[in-house]
Amino acid sequence: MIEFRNVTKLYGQSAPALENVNLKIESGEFVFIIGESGAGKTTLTKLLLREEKTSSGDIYVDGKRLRRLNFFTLPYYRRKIGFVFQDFRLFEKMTVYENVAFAMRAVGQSRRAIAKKVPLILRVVELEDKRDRFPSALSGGEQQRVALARALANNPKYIIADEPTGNIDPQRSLEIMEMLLKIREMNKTVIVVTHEKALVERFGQRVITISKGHVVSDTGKSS
Amino acid sequence: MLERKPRRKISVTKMAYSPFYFIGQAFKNIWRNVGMSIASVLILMACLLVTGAFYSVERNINYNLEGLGGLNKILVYINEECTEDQIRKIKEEAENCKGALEVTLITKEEALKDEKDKMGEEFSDIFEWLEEGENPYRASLEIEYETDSDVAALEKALKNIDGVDKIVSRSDTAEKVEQIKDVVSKVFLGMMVLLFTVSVFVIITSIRLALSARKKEIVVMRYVGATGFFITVPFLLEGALLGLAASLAAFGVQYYIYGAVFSGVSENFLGLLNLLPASALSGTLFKSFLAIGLVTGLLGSTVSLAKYLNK
Ligand SMILES: Nc1ncnc2c1ncn2[C@@H]1O[C@H](COP(=O)(O)OP(=O)(O)O)[C@@H](O)[C@H]1O
Ligand SMILES: [Mg+2]
Repeated sequence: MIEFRNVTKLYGQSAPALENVNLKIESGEFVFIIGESGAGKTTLTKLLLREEKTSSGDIYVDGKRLRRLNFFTLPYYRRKIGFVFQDFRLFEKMTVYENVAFAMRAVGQSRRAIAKKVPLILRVVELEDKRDRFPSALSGGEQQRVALARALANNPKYIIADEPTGNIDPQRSLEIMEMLLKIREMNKTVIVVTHEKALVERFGQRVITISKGHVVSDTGKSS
Repeated sequence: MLERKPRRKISVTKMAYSPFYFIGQAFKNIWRNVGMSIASVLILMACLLVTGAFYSVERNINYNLEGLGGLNKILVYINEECTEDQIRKIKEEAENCKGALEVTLITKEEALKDEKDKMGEEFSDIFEWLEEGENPYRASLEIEYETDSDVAALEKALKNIDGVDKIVSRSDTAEKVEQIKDVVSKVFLGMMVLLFTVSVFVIITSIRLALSARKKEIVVMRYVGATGFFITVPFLLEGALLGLAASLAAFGVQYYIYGAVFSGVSENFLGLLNLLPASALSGTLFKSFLAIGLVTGLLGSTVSLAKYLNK
């Protein structure tokens, strides 16, 4: 479970990026977080990943206070979360397979474990036939799926995607959303951040709206 | 049939890092900025060579000073033709000279043995051969005098004793050598500090380049939960490898140059200037080179990584 308690985030002297945010996301939920550009969505994901620290208030994930994490414990916390970057952050000189394997190797997984697991993940994102291609030979949607596969590599409990449809066309956007819903069925909690309100409404999932750093609406837990 | 052990479950908290992975990454970093890597090694090598030259000169000055006798000592060489009785008489006369505190006789045999001990194993053959034939060394007297005595008068009195061949005193040669040693030490020390500083900075730049070339990878590694250990070890190793390369290369060059100087000096200045054989210096030099090289390399990489470790 993820819990934000009175979370405020300030960057320097400007208006707070997030102010007094209270949120609860249960395990296994699928949540959209929407809001206009500059609303504080990316800040929220950075706080969750403990890339940034809260200025005041606390975030608890599975009962652990993120403020308590240190240089040595933070990496192990991060393995619980699969993060999908808005700009994919794929490595151009690595194949699809190697891009996914990279994440597993980075946490010290054995060669054998990698060889066994990567093909399974590539099947989930429907890229098993493109495993030896380089990112430059893939469409935007396919690149996004590689990024998703990499986020899944270490079997995280949570998946967080920041604007997963920001760089791809509407048809592919739908496919990505469908895929994220499918991933939720793999017993994961999925948080999708987007500014595309219209796209979100078709799925009937929980939607949290933030504006100027405040939570302005929350449809509450869906089905 | 053998019972099959259950395979250990792979857990993400268990480290399965292979040293080959780290070494491979370190070499990749070195190769990616090969020009900078070479520059780092060359500058560190220069630093080590200056250190090595300093050490060699210092050791050899001390070695040659020892031959001149210690502080407050005059060495009196006795004519080769003198018999043991005559030598005993010369010793008595020396003891009666004004200012002389203690007079020690060093016989021909003792002189040979001393020299043999100093030169070490490598030259024992030559000494065995010397021991069998005519002993080329002369007997000598070592005269200790009072600190505030008239050294010049004492020297004169000693010189007037029958059978005395040559007098060597610290008052002239040794003091001059000491002065030169002082100046040389300061110059070398200054150069060492300067080159060491430059080496550290060049290595820092080298590792920074490697870090920035891998910035994107490092960001992704951190997000997927790679430990600080996993991220930093290749860069620490890179620094260590650069230091190691510089140490080994510098040692080779130093060994070669010293050997050449040694044979040159032995041929041309026999007796006047004696150099220690390379083997007497190489052990300490090798260890110091390795230590300095590794410390410099690791210092460079640690400073560069501090930024990442602080996160
Ligand atoms: N590193 C930063 N330093 C200073 N201000 C920042 C930084 N990151 C974000 N901001 C500011 O915080 C606010 C929220 O930004 P962000 O979380 O990126 O919004 P969103 O992702 O919803 O577009 C914006 O006003 C932005 O300018
Ligand atoms: Mg954003």
